[in-house]
Amino acid sequence: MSAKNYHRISSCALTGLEGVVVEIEVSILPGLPRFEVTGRGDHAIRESRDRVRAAIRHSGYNFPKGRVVASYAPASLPKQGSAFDLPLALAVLASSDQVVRMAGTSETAAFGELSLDGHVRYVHGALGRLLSLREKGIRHVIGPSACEGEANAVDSVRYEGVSTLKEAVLRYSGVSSSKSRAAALPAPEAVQDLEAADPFGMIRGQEEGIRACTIAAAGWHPILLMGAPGCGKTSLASVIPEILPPLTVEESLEVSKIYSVSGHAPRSGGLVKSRPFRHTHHTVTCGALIGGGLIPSPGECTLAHRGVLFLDEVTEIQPRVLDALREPLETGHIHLSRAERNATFPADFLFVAACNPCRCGYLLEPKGQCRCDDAAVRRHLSRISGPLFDRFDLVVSLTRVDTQEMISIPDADSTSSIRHAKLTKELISNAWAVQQERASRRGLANFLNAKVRVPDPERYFAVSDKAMTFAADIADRNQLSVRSFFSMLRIARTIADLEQHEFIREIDIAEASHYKARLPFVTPQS
Amino acid sequence: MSEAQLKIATAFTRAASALRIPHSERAIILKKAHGLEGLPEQLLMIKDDSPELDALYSRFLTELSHTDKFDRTTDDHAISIVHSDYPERLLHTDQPPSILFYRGKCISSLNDPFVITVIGTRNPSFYGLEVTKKLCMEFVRRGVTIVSGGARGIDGQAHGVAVSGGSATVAVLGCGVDIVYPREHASLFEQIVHSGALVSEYPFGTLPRKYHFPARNRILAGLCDAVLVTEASRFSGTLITAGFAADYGRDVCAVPGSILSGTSRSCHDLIREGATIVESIDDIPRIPRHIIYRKESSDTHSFSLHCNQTENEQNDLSKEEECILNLLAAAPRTLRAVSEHCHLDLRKTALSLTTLQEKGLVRLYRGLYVRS
Repeated sequence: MSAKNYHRISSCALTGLEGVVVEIEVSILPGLPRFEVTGRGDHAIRESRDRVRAAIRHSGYNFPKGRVVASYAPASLPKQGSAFDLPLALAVLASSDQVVRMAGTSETAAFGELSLDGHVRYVHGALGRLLSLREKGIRHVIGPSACEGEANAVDSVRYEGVSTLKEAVLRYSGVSSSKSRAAALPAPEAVQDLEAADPFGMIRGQEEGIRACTIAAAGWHPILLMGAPGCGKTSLASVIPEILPPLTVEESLEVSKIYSVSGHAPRSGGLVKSRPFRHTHHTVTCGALIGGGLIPSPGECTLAHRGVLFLDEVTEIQPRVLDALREPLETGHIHLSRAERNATFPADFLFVAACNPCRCGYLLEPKGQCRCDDAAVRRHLSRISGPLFDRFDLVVSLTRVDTQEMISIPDADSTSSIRHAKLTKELISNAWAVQQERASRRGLANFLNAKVRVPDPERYFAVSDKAMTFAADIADRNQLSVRSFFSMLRIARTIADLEQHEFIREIDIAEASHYKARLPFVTPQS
Repeated sequence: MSEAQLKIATAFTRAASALRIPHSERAIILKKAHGLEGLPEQLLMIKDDSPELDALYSRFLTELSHTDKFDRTTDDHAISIVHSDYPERLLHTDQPPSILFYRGKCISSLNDPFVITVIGTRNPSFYGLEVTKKLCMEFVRRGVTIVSGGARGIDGQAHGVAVSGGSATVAVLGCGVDIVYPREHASLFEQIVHSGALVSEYPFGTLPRKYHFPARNRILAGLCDAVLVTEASRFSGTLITAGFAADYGRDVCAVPGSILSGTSRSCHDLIREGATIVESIDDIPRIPRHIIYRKESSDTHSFSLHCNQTENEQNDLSKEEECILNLLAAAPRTLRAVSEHCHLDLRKTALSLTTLQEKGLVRLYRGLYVRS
């Protein structure tokens, strides 16, 4: 591997969420002192020459004299970021015989950013890099010690966290080795650390909203909360991730990989343990929401994967941006095509949106403060396109809570089971289990009611004949589209799952139709 | 009505309006000409009398050459003040329009024994719409012609009830009768043309202007025996119409509303100043007492059924459903409010409300449940 004046080392670049193994070769040629880097690197990679030179000097080594050429393969892949500093420095040192690898050491990869004084800094995407290195059969990796938390999740790879270049050199030569680490997957219990305070404690009144959020969480149904300013839409939305069942180990790994790549990994290191809750401002751009860039990077809807994407003031978001969500809502992932390359990101999020029902916000207030005329209401709501509106399974109208209710402490016993947080969580977990079982009988991958795609939904959802006639009548009267009709059945199925009934009954349909047939708020334009 | 006369009427009105010749003078010219046919000759004859009338004649000729453009339908007509079909009541006001343009079969219903003008806010509450519906249904049963302004809100509701009851109704517009304003009333206007008429003092092709509407209001007040204001908040334009009505000696009637919402302030102001307070249409002075079904069509049949529907179905309601109906009669409410007031859980309330919707007793209005 190390001929005189030549050395090769592996590292890993990121494209989208995936890592691509990159080989870094360094050759020292005769000629005037020069340091060249080839292989489609970005600014950060070209600047790495200066960091590497300084770090080598400050760690007590010598930068080789002569013409130093580094090449990153595959040369066709555009590479970016500072993670190649450490392998480049190691390769330069090895090719100038300042590091001698002991015979019989296995292939080793490295990544990490260097500071001028020779410290190794954190880089994002450690999880994704390690997973793809493992796939290529590389079992020994040297990287920043700050990434150890993420690295712990990847078993059968020996990860050596280092904090200085000097330390890395010692590890790379095989002289010293950190005490071997038992491949420790996080125990499933560690993922469940959500038994905190009562999530409903901060919400006064709003039983209808809580119930709708429970249904949304139980069946992964997109939900739209409508109500006057300050009626508690945001509080309700932020409760949803807390009542969702905890992430499974695989899901946690999936989410952590996304977070690691996009630089959102938990500062404490380790895996993401709670369901993501992404709350974006209404000035969000298309690229920020669904992802983008020359080399596509994940957007908010990918960051919300397996969690909640909350769009507040959804009528203020540019319609073009909103409509971009239609594809991920339908398929659970997003496919981006850019000049340089294409990428597919997972985007299976629970869509929660909130808005005022009209410009002034008071349309649904029964005291009639709203003075918006029908045309103004229609104009306001037309910011959400028809097809997107159709995809909201649940549309909830909320009214302000009066002062009497606000100052009274909610009493968990008297105000029905709806407010009971622990019970709600249990009900939702049970509903998920029921759905999983039903889906496994058919061999479906997506088990949640909102995601199930079967040719015979009536049979699959077990609608009783009486309920079916009832549902058809409602659909007739409200002129529901086919999509809306089946989405009503889906909600009814989720309600029946929550109530632990095998068949959908009329009362389930009735409740579902209440959340489905909210529109039109105003008489349709003739 | 021949096309030539329609053109003459249009050209004359445009020319006279451009030269700001008042309606009284236009009426004198029309009387001398014995109607629209003789108008060009009359104008030719009088053009030497004064430089003003000379200008009118040359303007008239230019306008006449421009009138080829407008599309007329067989329903379009113009009627001058000397014509026998001209609405009689309008003659007894201070500025009757010298020529009325209308689209519809005839406007003879405006000479019926009793004509009512129903007006109100363009942005009504649920209460205002319900009141208008209830009272207008009664007017239809008594064979009273309903006149209104063709605007959004109360006006549209009044016309809509009359049309669905198969009764003649007249909309007085602030633009040419070939212009649909507001746009969403396109189909309503078509129905009005079918059974009644769209009327305007503005010639074909005139676009709506802000200052047209106060002038239009004087016609609204002039055409009727009584003006009924069903809902109007403070500073409403209905006060202008009510003012004209009082000047012309028409009865001004108003429906009271809630003092909490402030949506009926102008009605209360009118009552304070002496308007007749109306709870049922029998409160309106000189209203015909006999119920007349004008048209025995299927329309009328379903319409009268609709009026009695609530009584018929009251019998097979559960206790909860009755409780909900009583609650919703007072005000529109959300699901949660209904469940709270009737002491039912959310699921049962949803079921009851859905059943009531199936029976047609409850519907959604602006996102809230209301009694229909």
